[in-house]
Amino acid sequence: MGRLIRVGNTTPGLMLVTGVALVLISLLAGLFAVLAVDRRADAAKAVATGSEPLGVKTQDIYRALADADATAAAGLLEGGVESADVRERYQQAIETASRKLIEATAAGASGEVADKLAVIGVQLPEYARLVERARAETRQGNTVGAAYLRSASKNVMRAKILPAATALHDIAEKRLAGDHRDATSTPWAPLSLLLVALAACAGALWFFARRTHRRINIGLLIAGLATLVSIGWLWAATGTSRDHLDRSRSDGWGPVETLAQARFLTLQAHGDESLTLVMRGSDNGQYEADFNEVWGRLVGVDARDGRPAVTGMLATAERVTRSDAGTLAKVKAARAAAADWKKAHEEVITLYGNGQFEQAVAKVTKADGASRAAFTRIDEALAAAVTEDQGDFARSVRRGRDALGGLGVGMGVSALIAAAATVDGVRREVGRYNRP
Amino acid sequence: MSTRIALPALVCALALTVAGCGAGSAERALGRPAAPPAGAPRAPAEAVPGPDTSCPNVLASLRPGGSLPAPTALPAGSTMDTLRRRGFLIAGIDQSSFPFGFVDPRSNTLRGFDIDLLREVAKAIFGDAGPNRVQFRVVRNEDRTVAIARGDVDIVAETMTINCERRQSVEFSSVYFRAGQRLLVQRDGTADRADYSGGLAALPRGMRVCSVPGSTSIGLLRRQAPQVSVIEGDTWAGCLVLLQQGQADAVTTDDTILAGLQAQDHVFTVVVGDKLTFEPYGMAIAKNRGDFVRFVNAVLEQLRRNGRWGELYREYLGTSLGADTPAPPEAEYRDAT
Repeated sequence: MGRLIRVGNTTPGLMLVTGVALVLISLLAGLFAVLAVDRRADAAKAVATGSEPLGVKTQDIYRALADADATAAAGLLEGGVESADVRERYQQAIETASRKLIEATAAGASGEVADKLAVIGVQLPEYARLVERARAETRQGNTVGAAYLRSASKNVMRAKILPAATALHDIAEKRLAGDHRDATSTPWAPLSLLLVALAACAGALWFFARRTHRRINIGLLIAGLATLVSIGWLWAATGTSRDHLDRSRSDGWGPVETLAQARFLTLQAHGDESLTLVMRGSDNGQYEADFNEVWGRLVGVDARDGRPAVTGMLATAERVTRSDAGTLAKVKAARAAAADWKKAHEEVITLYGNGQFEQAVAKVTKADGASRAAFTRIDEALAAAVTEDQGDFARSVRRGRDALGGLGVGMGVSALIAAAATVDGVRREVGRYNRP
Repeated sequence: MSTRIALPALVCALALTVAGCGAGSAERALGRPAAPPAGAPRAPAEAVPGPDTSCPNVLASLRPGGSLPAPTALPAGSTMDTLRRRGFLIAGIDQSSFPFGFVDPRSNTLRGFDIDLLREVAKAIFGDAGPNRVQFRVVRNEDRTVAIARGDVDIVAETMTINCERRQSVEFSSVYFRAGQRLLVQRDGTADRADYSGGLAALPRGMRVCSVPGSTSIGLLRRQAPQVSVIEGDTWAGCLVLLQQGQADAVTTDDTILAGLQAQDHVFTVVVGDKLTFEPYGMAIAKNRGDFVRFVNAVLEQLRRNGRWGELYREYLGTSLGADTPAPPEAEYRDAT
């Protein structure tokens, strides 16, 4: 103990202690930086391969389910034998939903996600059973088929399945937002440790220079430079990565989320339009009211009677995609189609009110029917916009991950260089004192 | 004027075998309630349900002006003449009241007892039954009297019960159908063999009975049978779904609607019990169109006599309410011959 104090009191001893501390600080800062970069890369990887794919899957699940709900109604409406394309679309929707459900479950869902997936998994066959019963009754000419469809849609799909799918999607989005945050936060802890290491290097350089009448210890200088490089590299690389990842949100999953919401609303409105006709007035205008409510959320509502104006999802989509010409054009096309749909829908309601049921149904179910054609245009435009933005997302995330490439290794190597240079520099200096 | 009495009497004489035609014209002229048709079910323990008595002779309509004029001989300036020149009749209907007004799922076209009655009226005006002779307007139940009073529609045939409140704003045709609230149960060997003569009050405790909120049927059920568990259906067809899925033991409403439900599950359901209420259906017409009311009543008289009413009954009600086709309800008129 006494010897250590004695050593510490001599100049070589002080130098030795300084060197050891410096090595420890450098290595510690390096280790911190490596770990931080590693965690960040993991988060960026999670954005690319974990949370966002879950988000896409939950979006696909919701879309397929809402599609099934809307198409089942259209199939029942056609009267007589439903057309092949409507039947196929329904079957496709149920199949897609089931497959995505299995994929999401197989991906190792747990906790709340597993619960919600289970709800959908249990209720989907019940839904399909009621829809089949509705079809079977209708095929026998029984009007109770409409009541079975309503039961399927109202009591199962809209009361149980879609809320679970929405919750699932919310979880996925929260997860994505969390991963995104982890992948883009400024790495203050390693940065401050590196700055401490840099300051320590500078202090040691000053101390060595004073005690030896030499200006600069080369080893310590190299250590300081290595630390400086680490700081610059870490700052620049994480900054670039953050820029790309932020773009993946602003041009990618941010708009995708809005576009997907607009698409869900479109599907719901289509389902409501069909169900209005299926119910033939026995719903007391409930589905028409729902259509109008959904429509308000899709295209917006002006302020009236003291109620504030509502910004439509399509207008929001236009705002969030205005920096992206390709997507913006598609959103504009969707808005134009929405105006056509509203006009066609009013015609449908007039025809229906006049007892011209067949003509009303034709507009909603026939491929060239004004209402169905406009709906298809919106759906396809939004689908294309989603695909485009998902491409933007994948590209930006890849760039964001690439920017982090080699950073972890670099931090480690740089810390080792700093440590080695420190050891070398201190060894040489102390060696001079030990020489007789 | 004498032909007005002579002709119905003659037809009655010719069709003596048709049950119900035997009730004297004198009784009808006096506007007394018609006797129940032969073979009617035993009256429930409570008072025999009858028409609304809060106003005198609620069921008495305007007497037809003799036999039905030919379409080419409609009196000039009459409502019928105006309609004929316009080329079509505007009729208020419901598309969800199987089997009275419904869209046939096979063809997506309107069919039903009420729809066919309207087509008969149109045929009498225009001489043909072209598909465009009636413009149907879907009118919600609560809007029926307003639609007539405002002139949105010329006539409403929509399972509409004649009562005093409605009579204040519209005129009704003679009764064309006598409905009443009954019960639909599953033919499971137990429910269909139980004794329902005690009415709603005698239903077993805890029995799950489905009805639609807001209907007069659910009101009666709640008043008379507090011991049952009331299941609320979205629609009457929704009640059938609940019955078929084992979530309800019975459905109660007008037997016309029950007949529609029974027809869709005709092997395993059955309409049981006596009529608990009396719901006389009439077609509604504007008060200032008395000539049209008389004309429609003449059409109804013709349908009663020529067997067309029975045909419609068999087509739309079939054997849902029993094996026999009942006699058409007899007309009552408030004005002397």
